[in-house]
Amino acid sequence: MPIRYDADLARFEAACTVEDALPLAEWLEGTEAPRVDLSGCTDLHTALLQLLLAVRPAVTAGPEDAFLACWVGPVLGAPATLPPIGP
Amino acid sequence: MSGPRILVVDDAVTVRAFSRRVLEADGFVVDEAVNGIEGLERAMAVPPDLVIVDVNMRKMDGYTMLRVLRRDPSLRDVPAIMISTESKASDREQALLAGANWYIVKPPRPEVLVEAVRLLTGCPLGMGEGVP
Amino acid sequence: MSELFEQFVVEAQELLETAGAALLALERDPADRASVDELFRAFHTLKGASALFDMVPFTRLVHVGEDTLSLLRDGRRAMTPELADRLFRALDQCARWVAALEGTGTLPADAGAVAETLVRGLAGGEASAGAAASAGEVDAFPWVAALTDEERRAAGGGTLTAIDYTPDPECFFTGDDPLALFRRVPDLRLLRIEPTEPLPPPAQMDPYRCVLRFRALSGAAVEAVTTAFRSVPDQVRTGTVTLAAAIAPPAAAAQGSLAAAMLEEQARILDLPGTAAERESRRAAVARAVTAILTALGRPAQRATVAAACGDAGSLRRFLADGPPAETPATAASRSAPAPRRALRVEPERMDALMALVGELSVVKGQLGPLVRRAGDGETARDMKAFAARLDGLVGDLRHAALRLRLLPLARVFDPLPRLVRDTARRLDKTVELVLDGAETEADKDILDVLGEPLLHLVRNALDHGIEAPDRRAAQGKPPGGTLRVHAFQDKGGVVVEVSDDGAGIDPAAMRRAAVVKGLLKPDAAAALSDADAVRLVFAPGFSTAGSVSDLSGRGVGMDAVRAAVERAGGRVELSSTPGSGTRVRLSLPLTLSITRVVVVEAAGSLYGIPVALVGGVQRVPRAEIRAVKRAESVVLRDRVVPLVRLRRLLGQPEDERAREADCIVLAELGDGPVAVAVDDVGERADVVLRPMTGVLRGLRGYAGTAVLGDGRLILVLDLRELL
Repeated sequence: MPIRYDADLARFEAACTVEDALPLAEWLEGTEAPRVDLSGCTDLHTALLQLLLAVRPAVTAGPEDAFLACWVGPVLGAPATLPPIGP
Repeated sequence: MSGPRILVVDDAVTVRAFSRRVLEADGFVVDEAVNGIEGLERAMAVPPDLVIVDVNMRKMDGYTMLRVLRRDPSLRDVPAIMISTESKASDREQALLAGANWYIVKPPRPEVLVEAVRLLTGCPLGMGEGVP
Repeated sequence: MSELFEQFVVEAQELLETAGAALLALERDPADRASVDELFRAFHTLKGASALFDMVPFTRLVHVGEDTLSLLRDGRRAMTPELADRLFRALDQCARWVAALEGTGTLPADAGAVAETLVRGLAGGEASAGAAASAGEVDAFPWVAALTDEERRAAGGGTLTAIDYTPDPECFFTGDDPLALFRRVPDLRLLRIEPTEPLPPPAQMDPYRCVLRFRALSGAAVEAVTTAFRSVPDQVRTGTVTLAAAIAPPAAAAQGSLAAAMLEEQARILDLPGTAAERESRRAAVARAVTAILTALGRPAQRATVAAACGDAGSLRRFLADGPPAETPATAASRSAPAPRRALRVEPERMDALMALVGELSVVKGQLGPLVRRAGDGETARDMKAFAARLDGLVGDLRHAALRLRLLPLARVFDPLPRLVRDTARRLDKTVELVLDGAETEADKDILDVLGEPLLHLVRNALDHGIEAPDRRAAQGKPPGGTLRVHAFQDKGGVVVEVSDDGAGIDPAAMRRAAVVKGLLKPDAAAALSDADAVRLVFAPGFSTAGSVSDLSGRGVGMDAVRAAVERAGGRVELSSTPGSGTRVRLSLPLTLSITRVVVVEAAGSLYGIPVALVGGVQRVPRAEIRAVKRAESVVLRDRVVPLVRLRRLLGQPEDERAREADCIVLAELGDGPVAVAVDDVGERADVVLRPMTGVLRGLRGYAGTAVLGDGRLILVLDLRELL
């Protein structure tokens, strides 16, 4: 399962496909303050991206995949784009 | 008298040999390593003036090596060129994110490699180079 | 707003003013090298300063302006009125942007598009390398013109391929993953992911329906890009666009060279995301790399200097564009020039508070006088008198000093005039020489604010209606070019501005006819008007002297508005005109609005103040000289019949029953003619701080406010215009 659900935290791992859309939608809807960890995600299907854009869960870790880090992380407000904190 | 020291980190022996030949001909001192871990060991033993790093290597890839290099207090400002067969913008972006200062697509033309190395080590450009 | 940004706003305003003046001079004398240099320097400095901030359209516009001027300087382009127009337009736009920046901190959303239009104008319509997308291409991809500065920077300049991809909402069912397609786009420079419609709440969202659209820029050619979208040709649109480079290529390296590309890359690295530690180490590596590159190029720079410039991409680019500080001529020039005096900026409220305190102090000091008189003649009294005299002097000095704080030279209202005259004359095909005189005359900031608009109107009016077209002037034996003179000077505690022209003047007969035609006067009343009074009809509301309404001054703001504005500030407008040889309008204003000089008058036992600015004279008039027709009285003063009004009557007070041989007359100069105001007595002239009517008094008409005299007595200051 590319997305592991852990109470209020969803961990995206490897290639996350359109198959994950329905479970993700249900989880996002049923979770009070959802958080997502995209660090292990190597591929994010558009269907998942638009769900994340609609709900805007807190992103605890942005994607490490270069393409996603460059173009998707900032749109989702991934931490890497935030101003640096501390030294 | 020895010129600037260049550390070439690549798992392909032909690439290392090519770089050595081209750069030594231009007066540079060339050091070699076959993967990221060995590259870091060499850099810590003898700090280079510039590192040229391949992306895909066993044991430790170029991205990881650059990230570690940038965290080392005595090596973090060493200019770095990443060299790869990939020409996509995202690959270039990832190299810069890891800590590279410049990105060259393999295989480099000798004069392009020399010019980049000269610029990043502060060596005046040779005859016919860089003339507007 | 950061301090640096505020400094930029002030600096930019000054530079734009300098540039405007230099451009005017240059247009008059295209061989004026000093003006070209001055203009070039202003644009150059603006470019450098603006590049410190996120305002790419601004930087681009002044950069192209600079390029244009360098062509002009090298004689590769000639100065024409059209080019001057375009440069003026660029300066005007920059001024508007600076105002917007001062207000909101950012450029308006349309700045990019506006800049491109002006840039094309400056380039003279030629397609210049690095110019923005041509109109047609922008039309096809309108969002390209509206890229944010950030996006523009990320995309870089040059020829790019724009991609507009709106996936079929059902595309997920056919196995498409739109986002994944962009992984295959070579040299992706920008990817915007946007919902096609507002995203519904998650509960109502169909997870299998695509509601996103994608807009992207690639550095690769169209053919290479379309390959990536081969499976969805009907949903994607691609095209070539040319994007202006966000920032000038670094001057340190030849354009297009490896070194230039490398330096630009170093700047870009500084803006890459990452943790603080990552960014810090990247900065260190970039500083070392840039130092090395500059050394390799034979322009060694201190590592520390370079490191200081490596704050972000913008500061590094600026550093690289300008080269090491000592080397650029602009910096060297500005260093050798005398440092401008730093003006201290004080909030107006604080200034007003100080003025109010000074006013109170004057009042309290005034109460000392009667006290000292009561103290008699003893030694203590003598000391007190001496002390009171010293205090008097000091308070006077203090008030003078406080007043001076608010004084500004009239240059502030004169500054827009050369440009206004130039543009207006050009539009009207008239030749006009503007002579400005007395710009150093000082007046209170409030007065300058009052003066600004009327002055512009008078100047516009003179050009429009006063000065004739060259052929008509020639036919009358006048020089073809007209002269407009604006002269300011200090006069009895106030400031006077005269606007005079050598134009056609105002024909009293035409004014009488016009007044009748417009229904303002009956024919016999018009005929009875003296020439001077007929000419004064221009101040009547709704009066226009031109045969046809001109596009310049016939816009409903007429001379009556000028008069109203000036009189509201306690000032006065006078007009004299000689048909065939010109018109002179004279605006007299008090030095300040916060202190009003009044003539104290008495009526029915109460004291009133009349602003000195309105008082043309005070005199006793024998009763015998006052003519009365029913209750309307009049008196002949200075050979003119002047209506006489009694202040008691105006204020609803009982008539003065005392038998008197003569009446005290205050001659009030109002815009539409003098009025003699009969009062019981005329007292001293006093400077008072006018307080607006408050509370129940606010509803009273005819009063400008209350004021306290030096001895503590309260007076009502009259608003004669409202009262009459």
